[in-house]
Amino acid sequence: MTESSAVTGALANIRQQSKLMKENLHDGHLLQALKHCSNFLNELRTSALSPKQYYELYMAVYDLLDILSDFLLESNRSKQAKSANTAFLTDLYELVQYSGNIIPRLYMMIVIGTTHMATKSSSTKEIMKDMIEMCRGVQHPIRGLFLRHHLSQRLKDLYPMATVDDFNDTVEFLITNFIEMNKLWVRLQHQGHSSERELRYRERKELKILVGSNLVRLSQVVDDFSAEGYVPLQFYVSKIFPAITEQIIQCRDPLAQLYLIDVLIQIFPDEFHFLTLDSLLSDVFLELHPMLEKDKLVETLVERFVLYHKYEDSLSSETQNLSLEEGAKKVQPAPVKFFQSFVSFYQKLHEMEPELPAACFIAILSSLIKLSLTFEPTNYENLNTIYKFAAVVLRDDSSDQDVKTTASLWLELLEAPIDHFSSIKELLKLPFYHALFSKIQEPELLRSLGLRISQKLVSSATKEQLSSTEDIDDVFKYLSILIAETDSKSTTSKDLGVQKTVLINNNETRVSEAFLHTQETICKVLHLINHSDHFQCLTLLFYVRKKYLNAAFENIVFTYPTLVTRMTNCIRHAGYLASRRKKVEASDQTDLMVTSNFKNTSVVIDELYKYHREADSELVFKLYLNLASVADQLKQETIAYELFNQCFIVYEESLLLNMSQSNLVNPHESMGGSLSYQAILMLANRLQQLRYFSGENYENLITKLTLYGSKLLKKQDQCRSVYYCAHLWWWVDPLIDEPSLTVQPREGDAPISEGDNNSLYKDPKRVLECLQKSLRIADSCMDPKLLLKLFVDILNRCLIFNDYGNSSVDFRYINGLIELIKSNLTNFEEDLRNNDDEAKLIKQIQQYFNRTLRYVRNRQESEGSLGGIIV
Amino acid sequence: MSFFFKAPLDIEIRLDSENIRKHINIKTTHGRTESLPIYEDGETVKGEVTVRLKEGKAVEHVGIKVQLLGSIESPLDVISSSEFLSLATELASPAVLSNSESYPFEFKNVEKQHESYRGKNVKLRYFIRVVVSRKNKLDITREKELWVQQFSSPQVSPDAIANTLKLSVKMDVGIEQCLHIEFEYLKSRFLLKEVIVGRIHFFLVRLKIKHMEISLIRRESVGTAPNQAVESDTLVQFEIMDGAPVKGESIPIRLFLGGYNLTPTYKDVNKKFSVRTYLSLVLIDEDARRYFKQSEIILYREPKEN
Repeated sequence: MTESSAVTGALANIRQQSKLMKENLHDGHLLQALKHCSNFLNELRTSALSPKQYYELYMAVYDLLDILSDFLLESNRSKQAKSANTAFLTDLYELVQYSGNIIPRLYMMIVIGTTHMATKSSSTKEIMKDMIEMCRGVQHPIRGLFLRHHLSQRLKDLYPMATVDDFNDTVEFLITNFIEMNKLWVRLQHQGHSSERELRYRERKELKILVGSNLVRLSQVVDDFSAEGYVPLQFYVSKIFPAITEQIIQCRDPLAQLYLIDVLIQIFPDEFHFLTLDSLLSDVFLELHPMLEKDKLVETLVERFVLYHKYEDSLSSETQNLSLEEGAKKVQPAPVKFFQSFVSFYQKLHEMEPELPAACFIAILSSLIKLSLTFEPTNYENLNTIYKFAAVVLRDDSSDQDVKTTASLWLELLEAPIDHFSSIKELLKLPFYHALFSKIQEPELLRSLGLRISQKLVSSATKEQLSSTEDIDDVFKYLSILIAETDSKSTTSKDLGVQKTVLINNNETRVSEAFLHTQETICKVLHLINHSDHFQCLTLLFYVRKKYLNAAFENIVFTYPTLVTRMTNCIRHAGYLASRRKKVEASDQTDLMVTSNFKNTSVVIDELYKYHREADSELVFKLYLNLASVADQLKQETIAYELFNQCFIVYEESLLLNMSQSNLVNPHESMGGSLSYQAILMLANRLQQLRYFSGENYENLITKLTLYGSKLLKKQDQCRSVYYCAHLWWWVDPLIDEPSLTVQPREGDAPISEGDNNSLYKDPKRVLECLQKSLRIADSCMDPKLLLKLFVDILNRCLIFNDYGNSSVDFRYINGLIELIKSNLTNFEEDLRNNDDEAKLIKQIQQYFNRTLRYVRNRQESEGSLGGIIV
Repeated sequence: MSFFFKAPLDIEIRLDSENIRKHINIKTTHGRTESLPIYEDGETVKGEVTVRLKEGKAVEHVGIKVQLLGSIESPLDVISSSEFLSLATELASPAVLSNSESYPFEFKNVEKQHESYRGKNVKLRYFIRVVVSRKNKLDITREKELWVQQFSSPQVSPDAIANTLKLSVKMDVGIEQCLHIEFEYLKSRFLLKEVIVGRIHFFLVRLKIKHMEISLIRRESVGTAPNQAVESDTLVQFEIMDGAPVKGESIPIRLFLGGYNLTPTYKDVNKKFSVRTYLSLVLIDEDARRYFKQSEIILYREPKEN
């Protein structure tokens, strides 16, 4: 017979017998009814069913017994109405004990006994004790569990609670029942064939609630009872806790221990646990089955406490809202003691079972972190202790096979507090935090943790600054892995474009977006380095570069620009402050410091140049340029001169032949051009703003630049460079308040400018020379259209200088140029008739020329300037 | 036979206040129930014998006597039937009965040494026999059975009872390396309406026990060894444990005796038979093997309340 048909058969029999029972009850044949009752209870004697199916039978029977109980209660009432002391139920209680089989006998005893108890007779407690005693007769695990469950279900509302005595008896009853049920439950594991162990385990899991419900009831009873001098807390500590935990320890069954500890933690109030914490941890947890995952228990306990803390918090804030005096009365348990309890538990555990898997220890520690963070959010000492333990475990575990699997747990351990604090500087300072960190082997983990830390630093609302070398050490020792890592290793996913990548180094290298993101984060952290004294700040920046950033030269290209920019900025600030101070007091060493900082910064740039000459020389060039401009602004002429020379060197060495962009550029476009052309323009722009150079040095630089410009590879670049450079000889804006050094008359030299305004450097002859030179270059162009375009460009430039008042570029010269352009244009008249691309281009140039002329005409008419030019 | 030789007389034996006397229902071997009046040791047996004439014919007799007899009977040949009590009183001297006549009789303070008993192989009966003797004709007899119960243990003085009451029975039994149990009954003497209370402690359990029961066995032995006929009869089977216990477990025993039809312990009644009751503890393992241990319990009738 299969199991399910066994169930159906049993249920059918129960139905039939119960029908007969009901009929007999209806007719008042109590004894017959009891006989049928006993018949259907016999179905519960079966051993053929799984717990689930047995439960089905049990439920069916339970409802039927309810009917019986109701009937008995009713007939007892009517009998008592007739004569005051009838022993109706007592007699029945004895009568059913003649039943030859123990299962039906006990079920009926319980039904009648509890019915008897419900009538509030004097013998309530005797019956209760008798029933639980007789239940010992059922030693079969499943039947026994259900029987005892039935007992406690029936008794649910009937426990004697009137006096302290009653209460003690009730508690004893519940504890006894719990202990017996637990024994049965544990025994179930060892029933049957050993090959069915798994099955048994599953069945036991299904049954666990039966055992746990006893503790639930116990907790309710403890809570409900009230009497003078009764303190639930003390009662729990002195009576219940020892009894329950002793049973839990003694049963030596992992499943039971795990479940029951869990129940114990969940159902009793937190205040109880606070008091028993020490013994729970050191006396109970340590005694449990070695297979048991104690970390889970600790986790449950901590979760509970954390929840309690949250609840108390919200409660106290609520009560404070209601009335301030009330809220103040809340007593918080001493958290220090807690933590100590857990710590000593951990130590003992570690001593006793050092071979436990690291994961277990880690889990416990991470629970401890949670606890500490919740109850003592600012106690770093606790965290330090935890990490100290963790470091010890990690060392012991280093040879282990499953390091990989536990590794992520380590990470969690370290990451846990990061989110908690608004500032993690304190955390990073903990010596054992780093000790643990440095013991982790897997670069992946270190990377992700480093990233977490830096992101936290960057995103934290307080924007803390790193203002000492210690601060920097504290942070960067966690970041060094990020700084040092390279992303050059090629993976298939990267090459195939599965992973998002970015091309750098003139499309030569692919790096992942994540990598770039990491480097960006480091740069953001660099921005956190700050100090109220700019010189100090510079020191810090140099420090971080020397100690950390130059760890991987491949990567400095990502971080140095930020660093150098920060340095440049700092120097500028420091220099300004110093110069302002100098006006008040005598000069001090600041000059010297500024100088040396310039030099050091330039060394940093040089280092970048050294390693990234191939691809990133333009970047280096720009950094030099920036630094040079700042040097000039701080009147550090020598240094600035030196730096400009560096620019030239970089230009010569790396930019001169760099044609990378030139292929794409339309030669007619004056804004585009090769990289070298761009570099010339950049330099020109910077030079044009210099004001603190001596005239000689300035001329040296601009002459050199113009020369470079005229030697560019392409005609159009040469031409344009030269006419742009013309501007370097003709300042239009003083930019600074004081007279510029550049225009100071040099020894043995006549004043250069003869205009009314001699604070501006002006050399009209050189300007004309430049324009003529560029015209010459343009003239040598092979493409007549480009030539024409350049002519018009130069014409515009001439007009500007004419407008500036340069006497050398006079209307005669301009008129000649206009004529030249006009005559050139006539050469194209035939081409203009065609409607091809060439004609369009020519047309554009023609329009450009016409616009220029129109502009001149307008100016002449409205302002009378640009006189003498024939349009 | 009696049909053909119908007695010309009807004899009726009436006991005093028979209607209000306690009766006992006894099942006979034929499955009928008999209701018998209960007498005690030393109680006077008093009544009236009425002799009625049938068909109005006068009957001549040589005397009417009434006997109170106690006898032990057995169908087996291990013992011979014997009468241990025989009292007789003359009711009427020889005469001719022409009317129905009633004769009161009384056996004063009769000592009834034994209790009535009906067993498989032996019966102990008390009965009143009225004999109407006739010349050259069969005596006309009529018997009426009494049921005698003694309300205090005959063998032991009340002091001794009190002593033994306190003594509990403890027994250590086991099978080497397999089972070791100790069972304990709070006492070994029980009133018939009492409750057997005890415990069983398991010290070692290597058997796969399926369940455990106790049974009450009545053993009736007739005659003396070697010529002895022993008959055992299981009166009660009572499951006290379901499933297999573990070491250290103790199982309660409670058996109400009142509901069962038990016999007090009779030891060597008239050197002819004994009836003893044994309490047997039976363990049944999963292969349905039975392991048992018997121990005698002494049952006695409760002293009558005054």
